[in-house]
Amino acid sequence: MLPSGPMPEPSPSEPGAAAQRTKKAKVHPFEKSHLPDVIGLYEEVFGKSGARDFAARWRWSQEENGFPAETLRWSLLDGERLVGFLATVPQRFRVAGHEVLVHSSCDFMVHPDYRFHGIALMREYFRACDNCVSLDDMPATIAVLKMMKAVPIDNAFRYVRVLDGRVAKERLPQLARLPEIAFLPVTWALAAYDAGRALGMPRVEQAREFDVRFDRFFSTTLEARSISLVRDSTYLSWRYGPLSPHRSRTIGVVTDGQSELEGYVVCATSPGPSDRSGYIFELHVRPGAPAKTFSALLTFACRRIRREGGHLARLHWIRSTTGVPEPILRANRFARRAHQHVLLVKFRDPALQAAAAEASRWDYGFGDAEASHSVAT
Amino acid sequence: MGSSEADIIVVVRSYMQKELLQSEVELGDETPLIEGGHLTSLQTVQLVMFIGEQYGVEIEPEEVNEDEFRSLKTIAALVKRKLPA
Repeated sequence: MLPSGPMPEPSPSEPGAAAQRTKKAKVHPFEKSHLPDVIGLYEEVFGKSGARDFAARWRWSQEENGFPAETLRWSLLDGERLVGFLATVPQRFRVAGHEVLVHSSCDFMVHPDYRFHGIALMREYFRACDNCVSLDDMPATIAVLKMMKAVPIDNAFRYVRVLDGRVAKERLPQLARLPEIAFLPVTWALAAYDAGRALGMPRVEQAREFDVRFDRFFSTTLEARSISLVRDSTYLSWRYGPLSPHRSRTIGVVTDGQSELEGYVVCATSPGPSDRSGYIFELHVRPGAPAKTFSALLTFACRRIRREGGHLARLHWIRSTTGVPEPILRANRFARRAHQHVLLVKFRDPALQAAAAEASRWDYGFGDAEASHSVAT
Repeated sequence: MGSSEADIIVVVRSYMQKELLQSEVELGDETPLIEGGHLTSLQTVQLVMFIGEQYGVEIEPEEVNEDEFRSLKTIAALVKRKLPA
Protein backbone atom coordinates (compact mmCIF):
# COMPACT_ATOMS: atom_id res chain seq x y z
CA MET A 1 0.00 0.00 0.00
CA LEU A 2 1.07 3.58 -0.47
CA PRO A 3 -0.68 5.37 2.34
CA SER A 4 -0.03 8.82 3.68
CA GLY A 5 0.46 6.84 6.88
CA PRO A 6 3.20 4.46 7.94
CA MET A 7 3.60 1.95 5.07
CA PRO A 8 6.40 2.70 2.57
CA GLU A 9 6.35 1.48 -0.98
CA PRO A 10 8.18 -1.80 -1.45
CA SER A 11 11.70 -1.28 -2.68
CA PRO A 12 12.41 -2.80 -6.09
CA SER A 13 15.48 -4.41 -4.61
CA GLU A 14 13.34 -6.42 -2.20
CA PRO A 15 12.97 -10.08 -3.17
CA GLY A 16 10.00 -10.51 -5.45
CA ALA A 17 9.40 -6.82 -5.88
CA ALA A 18 10.69 -6.68 -9.44
CA ALA A 19 8.49 -9.60 -10.38
CA GLN A 20 5.44 -7.76 -9.12
CA ARG A 21 3.28 -6.53 -11.95
CA THR A 22 1.48 -3.20 -11.91
CA LYS A 23 -2.04 -3.56 -13.20
CA LYS A 24 -4.29 -1.06 -14.89
CA ALA A 25 -6.62 1.14 -12.87
CA LYS A 26 -8.58 4.35 -13.26
CA VAL A 27 -9.47 7.19 -10.90
CA HIS A 28 -13.21 7.67 -10.28
CA PRO A 29 -15.15 9.98 -7.98
CA PHE A 30 -15.75 8.25 -4.66
CA GLU A 31 -19.22 6.77 -4.17
CA LYS A 32 -20.78 5.75 -0.87
CA SER A 33 -20.91 2.15 -2.08
CA HIS A 34 -17.05 2.18 -2.15
CA LEU A 35 -16.77 2.71 1.60
CA PRO A 36 -16.82 -0.98 2.68
CA ASP A 37 -13.98 -1.66 0.21
CA VAL A 38 -12.05 1.40 1.42
CA ILE A 39 -12.25 0.06 4.97
CA GLY A 40 -11.41 -3.44 3.72
CA LEU A 41 -8.28 -2.14 2.01
CA TYR A 42 -7.25 -0.42 5.23
CA GLU A 43 -7.88 -3.60 7.21
CA GLU A 44 -5.57 -5.57 4.90
CA VAL A 45 -2.67 -3.50 6.18
CA PHE A 46 -3.58 -2.30 9.65
CA GLY A 47 -5.78 -5.15 10.91
CA LYS A 48 -9.30 -5.17 12.31
CA SER A 49 -8.84 -2.81 15.26
CA GLY A 50 -6.93 -0.31 13.11
CA ALA A 51 -9.76 -0.46 10.56
CA ARG A 52 -12.35 0.19 13.29
CA ASP A 53 -10.56 3.38 14.31
CA PHE A 54 -10.15 4.32 10.65
CA ALA A 55 -13.89 3.87 9.98
CA ALA A 56 -14.71 6.14 12.95
CA ARG A 57 -12.16 8.68 11.79
CA TRP A 58 -13.58 8.57 8.23
CA ARG A 59 -17.08 9.37 9.51
CA TRP A 60 -15.70 12.31 11.49
CA SER A 61 -13.39 13.73 8.81
CA GLN A 62 -15.55 12.96 5.77
CA GLU A 63 -19.15 13.23 6.90
CA GLU A 64 -19.17 15.45 9.98
CA ASN A 65 -16.77 18.24 8.97
CA GLY A 66 -17.99 21.78 8.33
CA PHE A 67 -18.08 21.37 4.54
CA PRO A 68 -19.51 17.93 3.63
CA ALA A 69 -20.49 19.09 0.12
CA GLU A 70 -16.90 20.23 -0.52
CA THR A 71 -15.30 17.05 0.79
CA LEU A 72 -13.59 15.71 -2.31
CA ARG A 73 -12.38 12.10 -2.58
CA TRP A 74 -11.57 9.59 -5.24
CA SER A 75 -11.39 5.86 -5.70
CA LEU A 76 -8.88 3.95 -7.79
CA LEU A 77 -10.74 1.13 -9.52
CA ASP A 78 -9.61 -1.85 -11.56
CA GLY A 79 -12.96 -2.67 -13.12
CA GLU A 80 -15.23 -3.06 -10.11
CA ARG A 81 -12.40 -3.66 -7.64
CA LEU A 82 -11.29 -0.80 -5.40
CA VAL A 83 -7.49 -0.73 -5.26
CA GLY A 84 -6.83 2.71 -3.82
CA PHE A 85 -8.37 5.92 -2.56
CA LEU A 86 -7.58 9.49 -1.66
CA ALA A 87 -9.81 11.50 0.69
CA THR A 88 -9.47 15.18 1.50
CA VAL A 89 -10.62 17.22 4.43
CA PRO A 90 -11.72 20.80 3.65
CA GLN A 91 -10.81 23.59 6.07
CA ARG A 92 -11.25 27.36 5.99
CA PHE A 93 -8.04 29.39 5.91
CA ARG A 94 -7.39 33.10 6.01
CA VAL A 95 -4.55 33.99 3.66
CA ALA A 96 -3.40 37.60 3.46
CA GLY A 97 -6.90 38.91 4.26
CA HIS A 98 -8.79 36.48 2.02
CA GLU A 99 -10.83 33.57 3.28
CA VAL A 100 -10.40 30.46 1.13
CA LEU A 101 -11.27 26.79 1.34
CA VAL A 102 -8.22 24.56 1.55
CA HIS A 103 -8.15 20.80 1.04
CA SER A 104 -5.69 18.47 2.75
CA SER A 105 -5.26 14.85 1.68
CA CYS A 106 -6.14 13.12 4.94
CA ASP A 107 -6.23 9.47 3.81
CA PHE A 108 -4.35 8.04 0.85
CA MET A 109 -3.67 4.38 0.07
CA VAL A 110 -2.79 2.33 -3.02
CA HIS A 111 -2.57 -1.46 -3.24
CA PRO A 112 1.01 -2.58 -4.07
CA ASP A 113 -0.07 -4.19 -7.34
CA TYR A 114 -1.13 -0.71 -8.51
CA ARG A 115 1.74 1.27 -7.11
CA PHE A 116 2.32 3.51 -10.14
CA HIS A 117 -1.22 4.84 -9.88
CA GLY A 118 -0.74 6.74 -6.62
CA ILE A 119 0.36 9.59 -8.87
CA ALA A 120 -2.98 9.55 -10.71
CA LEU A 121 -4.89 9.96 -7.44
CA MET A 122 -2.62 12.76 -6.30
CA ARG A 123 -2.87 14.45 -9.73
CA GLU A 124 -6.68 14.39 -9.50
CA TYR A 125 -6.49 15.93 -6.04
CA PHE A 126 -4.32 18.80 -7.29
CA ARG A 127 -6.44 19.24 -10.42
CA ALA A 128 -9.73 19.42 -8.53
CA CYS A 129 -8.68 21.45 -5.48
CA ASP A 130 -7.69 25.10 -5.85
CA ASN A 131 -5.81 25.22 -2.57
CA CYS A 132 -3.84 22.36 -1.06
CA VAL A 133 -2.02 22.31 2.28
CA SER A 134 -0.24 19.25 3.58
CA LEU A 135 1.96 18.36 6.54
CA ASP A 136 3.67 15.07 5.78
CA ASP A 137 6.62 12.96 6.86
CA MET A 138 6.50 10.22 4.19
CA PRO A 139 9.34 10.77 1.66
CA ALA A 140 7.30 9.17 -1.14
CA THR A 141 4.30 11.41 -0.52
CA ILE A 142 6.47 14.52 -0.14
CA ALA A 143 8.20 13.74 -3.46
CA VAL A 144 4.88 13.34 -5.25
CA LEU A 145 3.54 16.55 -3.66
CA LYS A 146 6.59 18.45 -4.90
CA MET A 147 6.08 17.06 -8.38
CA MET A 148 2.53 18.44 -8.23
CA LYS A 149 4.23 21.80 -7.60
CA ALA A 150 3.38 22.06 -3.93
CA VAL A 151 6.04 24.26 -2.34
CA PRO A 152 7.79 23.30 0.92
CA ILE A 153 7.26 26.18 3.35
CA ASP A 154 8.67 25.00 6.65
CA ASN A 155 9.47 21.96 8.78
CA ALA A 156 7.72 20.76 11.92
CA PHE A 157 10.02 19.19 14.53
CA ARG A 158 9.11 16.68 17.17
CA TYR A 159 9.76 17.71 20.76
CA VAL A 160 9.37 15.44 23.77
CA ARG A 161 9.49 15.93 27.52
CA VAL A 162 9.91 13.16 30.05
CA LEU A 163 7.12 13.08 32.64
CA ASP A 164 7.64 9.72 34.28
CA GLY A 165 10.81 7.89 35.34
CA ARG A 166 9.53 4.64 33.84
CA VAL A 167 10.47 5.99 30.41
CA ALA A 168 14.00 4.85 31.27
CA LYS A 169 12.78 1.31 31.93
CA GLU A 170 10.86 1.29 28.64
CA ARG A 171 13.72 2.73 26.55
CA LEU A 172 16.88 1.31 28.08
CA PRO A 173 17.17 -2.51 27.87
CA GLN A 174 19.74 -2.59 30.72
CA LEU A 175 17.10 -1.12 33.07
CA ALA A 176 14.18 -3.25 31.89
CA ARG A 177 14.57 -5.79 34.70
CA LEU A 178 14.31 -3.25 37.50
CA PRO A 179 10.93 -3.06 39.27
CA GLU A 180 8.72 -0.08 38.47
CA ILE A 181 9.01 1.14 42.03
CA ALA A 182 12.68 1.90 41.42
CA PHE A 183 11.66 4.70 39.07
CA LEU A 184 9.12 6.31 41.37
CA PRO A 185 11.56 8.79 42.94
CA VAL A 186 12.38 10.18 39.50
CA THR A 187 8.68 10.56 38.69
CA TRP A 188 8.06 12.26 42.04
CA ALA A 189 10.93 14.64 41.45
CA LEU A 190 9.61 15.55 37.99
CA ALA A 191 6.09 16.06 39.35
CA ALA A 192 7.38 18.20 42.24
CA TYR A 193 9.41 20.29 39.81
CA ASP A 194 6.28 20.97 37.70
CA ALA A 195 4.16 21.71 40.76
CA GLY A 196 6.75 24.21 41.97
CA ARG A 197 6.95 25.91 38.59
CA ALA A 198 3.17 26.21 38.34
CA LEU A 199 3.11 28.27 41.55
CA GLY A 200 4.94 31.19 40.00
CA MET A 201 2.98 31.27 36.76
CA PRO A 202 -0.35 32.62 35.51
CA ARG A 203 -3.26 30.42 36.60
CA VAL A 204 -4.51 27.93 34.01
CA GLU A 205 -8.15 26.91 34.24
CA GLN A 206 -9.71 23.93 32.58
CA ALA A 207 -12.43 24.81 30.05
CA ARG A 208 -15.22 22.34 29.29
CA GLU A 209 -15.98 23.52 25.75
CA PHE A 210 -14.74 25.82 23.03
CA ASP A 211 -17.06 28.74 23.76
CA VAL A 212 -17.43 32.22 22.25
CA ARG A 213 -14.21 33.34 23.96
CA PHE A 214 -12.36 31.28 21.37
CA ASP A 215 -14.10 33.22 18.57
CA ARG A 216 -13.05 36.49 20.18
CA PHE A 217 -9.52 35.21 20.71
CA PHE A 218 -9.29 34.31 17.05
CA SER A 219 -10.70 37.59 15.78
CA THR A 220 -8.65 39.79 18.10
CA THR A 221 -5.41 38.11 17.06
CA LEU A 222 -6.14 38.25 13.32
CA GLU A 223 -3.50 40.88 12.72
CA ALA A 224 -0.84 38.43 13.81
CA ARG A 225 -2.35 35.71 11.68
CA SER A 226 -1.47 36.53 8.11
CA ILE A 227 -1.95 32.88 7.16
CA SER A 228 -4.02 30.75 9.46
CA LEU A 229 -6.67 28.12 9.62
CA VAL A 230 -9.92 29.69 10.85
CA ARG A 231 -9.58 28.26 14.33
CA ASP A 232 -12.89 29.52 15.74
CA SER A 233 -15.20 27.76 18.20
CA THR A 234 -17.14 25.99 15.43
CA TYR A 235 -13.99 24.54 13.96
CA LEU A 236 -12.46 23.61 17.34
CA SER A 237 -15.71 21.99 18.47
CA TRP A 238 -15.57 19.72 15.41
CA ARG A 239 -11.80 19.15 15.58
CA TYR A 240 -11.94 17.96 19.20
CA GLY A 241 -15.65 17.11 19.31
CA PRO A 242 -17.45 13.92 20.35
CA LEU A 243 -16.77 12.16 17.04
CA SER A 244 -13.15 13.27 16.80
CA PRO A 245 -10.27 10.86 17.44
CA HIS A 246 -9.24 13.30 20.19
CA ARG A 247 -12.54 13.66 22.01
CA SER A 248 -10.81 12.87 25.33
CA ARG A 249 -9.00 16.22 25.03
CA THR A 250 -8.35 18.61 27.87
CA ILE A 251 -8.59 22.36 27.27
CA GLY A 252 -6.54 24.70 29.44
CA VAL A 253 -7.01 28.49 29.29
CA VAL A 254 -5.26 31.53 30.70
CA THR A 255 -7.50 34.58 30.95
CA ASP A 256 -6.85 38.27 31.46
CA GLY A 257 -8.60 40.60 33.93
CA GLN A 258 -11.71 40.72 31.71
CA SER A 259 -11.99 36.93 31.48
CA GLU A 260 -10.88 37.02 27.86
CA LEU A 261 -8.44 34.38 26.63
CA GLU A 262 -4.80 35.23 26.78
CA GLY A 263 -3.93 31.76 25.51
CA TYR A 264 -5.04 28.15 25.43
CA VAL A 265 -3.72 24.65 25.15
CA VAL A 266 -5.39 21.42 23.99
CA CYS A 267 -3.85 18.07 24.91
CA ALA A 268 -4.86 14.41 24.99
CA THR A 269 -3.21 11.21 26.20
CA SER A 270 -2.89 7.84 24.46
CA PRO A 271 -4.73 5.05 26.24
CA GLY A 272 -1.55 2.91 26.26
CA PRO A 273 -0.12 0.41 26.93
CA SER A 274 1.83 0.42 23.64
CA ASP A 275 2.15 4.21 23.61
CA ARG A 276 2.24 6.06 26.91
CA SER A 277 2.41 9.52 25.39
CA GLY A 278 0.36 12.63 25.64
CA TYR A 279 0.11 15.04 22.73
CA ILE A 280 -0.12 18.81 22.82
CA PHE A 281 -2.20 19.54 19.72
CA GLU A 282 -2.80 23.25 20.20
CA LEU A 283 -0.97 25.96 22.09
CA HIS A 284 -1.75 29.52 21.06
CA VAL A 285 -1.11 32.71 22.95
CA ARG A 286 -2.07 36.29 22.19
CA PRO A 287 0.92 38.14 20.68
CA GLY A 288 2.64 40.29 23.29
CA ALA A 289 1.61 38.06 26.20
CA PRO A 290 4.43 37.30 28.66
CA ALA A 291 6.58 34.21 28.17
CA LYS A 292 5.17 32.88 31.43
CA THR A 293 1.82 32.35 29.69
CA PHE A 294 3.42 29.79 27.36
CA SER A 295 5.20 28.12 30.26
CA ALA A 296 2.01 28.00 32.32
CA LEU A 297 0.11 26.30 29.51
CA LEU A 298 2.96 23.85 28.83
CA THR A 299 3.23 22.98 32.53
CA PHE A 300 -0.55 22.54 32.78
CA ALA A 301 -0.52 20.15 29.79
CA CYS A 302 2.43 18.15 31.17
CA ARG A 303 0.81 17.75 34.59
CA ARG A 304 -2.48 16.72 33.00
CA ILE A 305 -0.81 14.15 30.72
CA ARG A 306 1.13 12.71 33.68
CA ARG A 307 -2.11 12.42 35.68
CA GLU A 308 -3.70 10.54 32.76
CA GLY A 309 -0.85 8.00 32.73
CA GLY A 310 1.38 9.55 30.07
CA HIS A 311 5.12 9.03 30.43
CA LEU A 312 6.07 11.49 27.69
CA ALA A 313 4.60 14.78 26.49
CA ARG A 314 4.92 15.24 22.74
CA LEU A 315 4.64 18.46 20.75
CA HIS A 316 5.25 18.89 17.02
CA TRP A 317 6.73 22.36 16.81
CA ILE A 318 6.44 24.57 13.75
CA ARG A 319 7.11 28.28 13.54
CA SER A 320 3.86 30.11 14.23
CA THR A 321 2.90 33.67 15.05
CA THR A 322 0.79 32.65 18.06
CA GLY A 323 2.63 29.40 18.84
CA VAL A 324 5.27 28.74 21.46
CA PRO A 325 8.76 30.07 20.56
CA GLU A 326 11.40 27.32 20.40
CA PRO A 327 13.60 28.78 23.19
CA ILE A 328 10.63 28.70 25.58
CA LEU A 329 10.00 25.08 24.65
CA ARG A 330 13.61 24.22 25.45
CA ALA A 331 13.47 26.20 28.70
CA ASN A 332 10.52 24.00 29.66
CA ARG A 333 12.72 20.88 29.27
CA PHE A 334 11.35 19.80 25.91
CA ALA A 335 14.02 18.08 23.79
CA ARG A 336 14.07 18.18 20.01
CA ARG A 337 14.11 14.89 18.06
CA ALA A 338 15.46 14.39 14.55
CA HIS A 339 12.15 13.39 12.97
CA GLN A 340 10.38 16.11 11.03
CA HIS A 341 7.31 16.79 8.94
CA VAL A 342 7.27 19.14 5.95
CA LEU A 343 4.58 21.76 5.37
CA LEU A 344 3.81 21.97 1.64
CA VAL A 345 1.28 24.26 0.01
CA LYS A 346 -0.15 25.11 -3.36
CA PHE A 347 -2.62 27.93 -3.86
CA ARG A 348 -4.11 28.41 -7.33
CA ASP A 349 -4.06 32.22 -6.99
CA PRO A 350 -0.43 33.34 -7.55
CA ALA A 351 -0.85 36.23 -5.07
CA LEU A 352 -1.97 33.85 -2.32
CA GLN A 353 0.82 31.42 -3.20
CA ALA A 354 3.37 34.22 -2.97
CA ALA A 355 2.01 35.22 0.45
CA ALA A 356 1.99 31.60 1.63
CA ALA A 357 5.62 31.13 0.61
CA GLU A 358 6.74 33.28 3.55
CA ALA A 359 7.08 30.93 6.49
CA SER A 360 7.18 33.78 9.01
CA ARG A 361 3.58 34.74 8.15
CA TRP A 362 2.15 31.36 9.15
CA ASP A 363 0.11 30.73 12.23
CA TYR A 364 -0.05 26.96 12.21
CA GLY A 365 -0.02 24.06 14.63
CA PHE A 366 0.11 20.27 14.62
CA GLY A 367 -3.59 20.04 15.51
CA ASP A 368 -4.41 21.90 12.27
CA ALA A 369 -2.72 19.23 10.18
CA GLU A 370 -4.18 16.06 8.73
CA ALA A 371 -1.03 14.37 10.03
CA SER A 372 -2.41 14.72 13.55
CA HIS A 373 -5.73 13.03 12.80
CA SER A 374 -4.38 9.49 13.05
CA VAL A 375 -2.63 10.06 16.41
CA ALA A 376 -4.39 7.67 18.80
CA THR A 377 -5.54 9.17 22.10
CA MET B 1 25.54 14.48 -24.49
CA GLY B 2 23.53 13.49 -27.55
CA SER B 3 19.88 14.38 -27.78
CA SER B 4 18.55 11.85 -30.23
CA GLU B 5 15.89 9.47 -28.90
CA ALA B 6 18.46 6.67 -28.97
CA ASP B 7 20.88 8.75 -26.87
CA ILE B 8 18.13 9.61 -24.36
CA ILE B 9 17.21 5.93 -24.03
CA VAL B 10 20.83 5.09 -23.14
CA VAL B 11 20.99 7.79 -20.45
CA VAL B 12 17.58 6.97 -18.92
CA ARG B 13 18.25 3.22 -18.99
CA SER B 14 21.56 3.69 -17.22
CA TYR B 15 19.97 5.92 -14.55
CA MET B 16 17.15 3.50 -13.94
CA GLN B 17 19.46 0.51 -13.62
CA LYS B 18 22.00 2.21 -11.37
CA GLU B 19 19.88 4.52 -9.25
CA LEU B 20 16.30 3.31 -9.28
CA LEU B 21 16.46 -0.45 -9.66
CA GLN B 22 20.01 -0.88 -8.33
CA SER B 23 20.39 -4.00 -10.41
CA GLU B 24 21.27 -5.08 -13.93
CA VAL B 25 17.65 -5.76 -14.84
CA GLU B 26 17.34 -6.10 -18.62
CA LEU B 27 15.46 -3.05 -19.84
CA GLY B 28 14.79 -3.18 -23.56
CA ASP B 29 13.67 -0.08 -25.41
CA GLU B 30 10.09 -1.33 -25.29
CA THR B 31 10.09 -3.24 -22.01
CA PRO B 32 6.83 -2.30 -20.25
CA LEU B 33 8.04 -0.27 -17.26
CA ILE B 34 4.75 0.18 -15.42
CA GLU B 35 3.09 -3.13 -16.16
CA GLY B 36 6.44 -4.79 -15.52
CA GLY B 37 6.56 -3.28 -12.04
CA HIS B 38 9.80 -1.37 -12.74
CA LEU B 39 8.35 2.04 -11.89
CA THR B 40 6.60 2.84 -8.63
CA SER B 41 5.15 6.29 -8.02
CA LEU B 42 8.22 7.35 -6.02
CA GLN B 43 10.66 6.02 -8.64
CA THR B 44 8.69 7.85 -11.31
CA VAL B 45 9.03 11.10 -9.39
CA GLN B 46 12.78 10.50 -9.04
CA LEU B 47 13.03 9.80 -12.76
CA VAL B 48 11.11 12.99 -13.60
CA MET B 49 13.52 14.98 -11.40
CA PHE B 50 16.54 13.34 -13.04
CA ILE B 51 15.24 14.14 -16.52
CA GLY B 52 14.64 17.73 -15.45
CA GLU B 53 18.22 18.11 -14.21
CA GLN B 54 19.79 16.23 -17.11
CA TYR B 55 17.94 17.84 -20.01
CA GLY B 56 16.57 21.08 -18.52
CA VAL B 57 13.01 20.16 -19.44
CA GLU B 58 10.00 20.28 -17.15
CA ILE B 59 7.64 17.36 -17.27
CA GLU B 60 4.15 18.42 -16.19
CA PRO B 61 2.17 16.29 -13.72
CA GLU B 62 -0.39 15.60 -16.50
CA GLU B 63 2.37 14.03 -18.59
CA VAL B 64 3.29 11.54 -15.88
CA ASN B 65 0.88 8.90 -17.08
CA GLU B 66 0.81 5.32 -18.32
CA ASP B 67 1.17 6.31 -21.98
CA GLU B 68 4.20 8.59 -21.63
CA PHE B 69 6.01 6.32 -19.16
CA ARG B 70 5.11 3.00 -20.79
CA SER B 71 8.69 2.25 -21.91
CA LEU B 72 12.13 3.80 -22.38
CA LYS B 73 11.09 4.54 -25.95
CA THR B 74 8.00 6.55 -24.97
CA ILE B 75 9.93 8.41 -22.26
CA ALA B 76 12.64 9.32 -24.79
CA ALA B 77 9.98 10.53 -27.23
CA LEU B 78 8.48 12.73 -24.50
CA VAL B 79 11.87 14.23 -23.60
CA LYS B 80 12.77 14.75 -27.25
CA ARG B 81 9.45 16.57 -27.85
CA LYS B 82 10.21 18.95 -25.01
CA LEU B 83 13.78 19.74 -26.04
CA PRO B 84 14.30 22.94 -28.02
CA ALA B 85 14.45 22.16 -31.74
